[in-house]
Amino acid sequence: MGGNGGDVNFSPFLGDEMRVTVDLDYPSELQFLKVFFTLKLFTNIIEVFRTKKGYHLQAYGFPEMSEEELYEFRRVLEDDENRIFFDEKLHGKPEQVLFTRRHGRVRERLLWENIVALPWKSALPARKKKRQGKDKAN
Amino acid sequence: MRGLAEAPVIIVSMSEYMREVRAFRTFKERLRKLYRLWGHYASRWRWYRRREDYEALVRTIREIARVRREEREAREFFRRKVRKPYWRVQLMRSYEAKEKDRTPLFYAEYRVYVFTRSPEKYAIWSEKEMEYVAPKPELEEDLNELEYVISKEARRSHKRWAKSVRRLPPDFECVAVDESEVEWPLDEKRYYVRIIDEDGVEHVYEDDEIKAWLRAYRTEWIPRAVREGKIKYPERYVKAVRQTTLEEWAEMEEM
Repeated sequence: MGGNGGDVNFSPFLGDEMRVTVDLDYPSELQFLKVFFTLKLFTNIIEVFRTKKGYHLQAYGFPEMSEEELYEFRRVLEDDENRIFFDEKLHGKPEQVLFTRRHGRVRERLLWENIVALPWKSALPARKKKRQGKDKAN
Repeated sequence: MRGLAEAPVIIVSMSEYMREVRAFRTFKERLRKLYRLWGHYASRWRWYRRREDYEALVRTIREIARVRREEREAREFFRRKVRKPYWRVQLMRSYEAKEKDRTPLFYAEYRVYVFTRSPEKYAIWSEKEMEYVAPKPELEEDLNELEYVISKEARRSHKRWAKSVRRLPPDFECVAVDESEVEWPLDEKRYYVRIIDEDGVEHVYEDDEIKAWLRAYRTEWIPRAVREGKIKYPERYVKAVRQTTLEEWAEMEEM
């Protein structure tokens, strides 16, 4: 069921392109940038959105790969495990779903400047926490 | 690294892309008129040396600069846009039981999705988010009808069921997909229902089965009800069912 509806095909690379979507929940800044630049190695067409829990990344124009390879690739990128599970096991429903409006909340589009300018959170606290209680002098 | 300095893209549909292309033609038209005025006021200023002509001339030149700047900025932003031909529009509603004491918890999800070349038929574009952010009422109505028909199939009171469940906020998706992902004919709606009942058993109903129910509802149940005199105006009945949300069903009193 090619789905072109008998019309002219837009894409000159018909059947050679794939879409990879990644849902990162509560990632570290480093993990997010790692995934972003890994996708950037393959394609320039990437959309990034900030969600309540983390980020949505949608990348277009990947070379064609089998379903297993796609799931493996998404696992390597640390995509949401439940999402991969649903895509693998449940058939008849759409795959690689990333909701634009999830629980009534619209995600926010991130542009390139925002991605590299995101504040880096250090694991170390800015200053030593003051101890409460007996030894207040410390 | 490849493309490091390039701006990120914004995926748009063909129609959205062409809408913007048409908008650029208005810049050309505005500039044509302004250049004509420039010549007009310059000529007047040259021959009559009146102050108001001079002021109008300066105003026109500034306006030309403003329009050209506006066009340059719009084109710069427009260069980020990549058009994609195939889109998937999906609306999902999910429900869970109001009583949370029982385990496993009742859970139901109803989906309608469609592959299309023109997402503006099914979704509303937001200029601020640069995305399709909300479904058109048609998809909502489809799900309203589907819920009602499933209640009919299950031989239960739809009002009572509406009172017993809690509706979670709906999820909506409108995304560009690759041609390989287009599994069904374009502009043909597909349905998917997954229900986990109180015993923890999962029921999945796919498109063919659901469409058979909808067909039976339209071609068998409604004509029979008309014959029996339960329904007087079938078209109005169908329309009312489509437009009544579950909250409105829950507010109705039991007959």
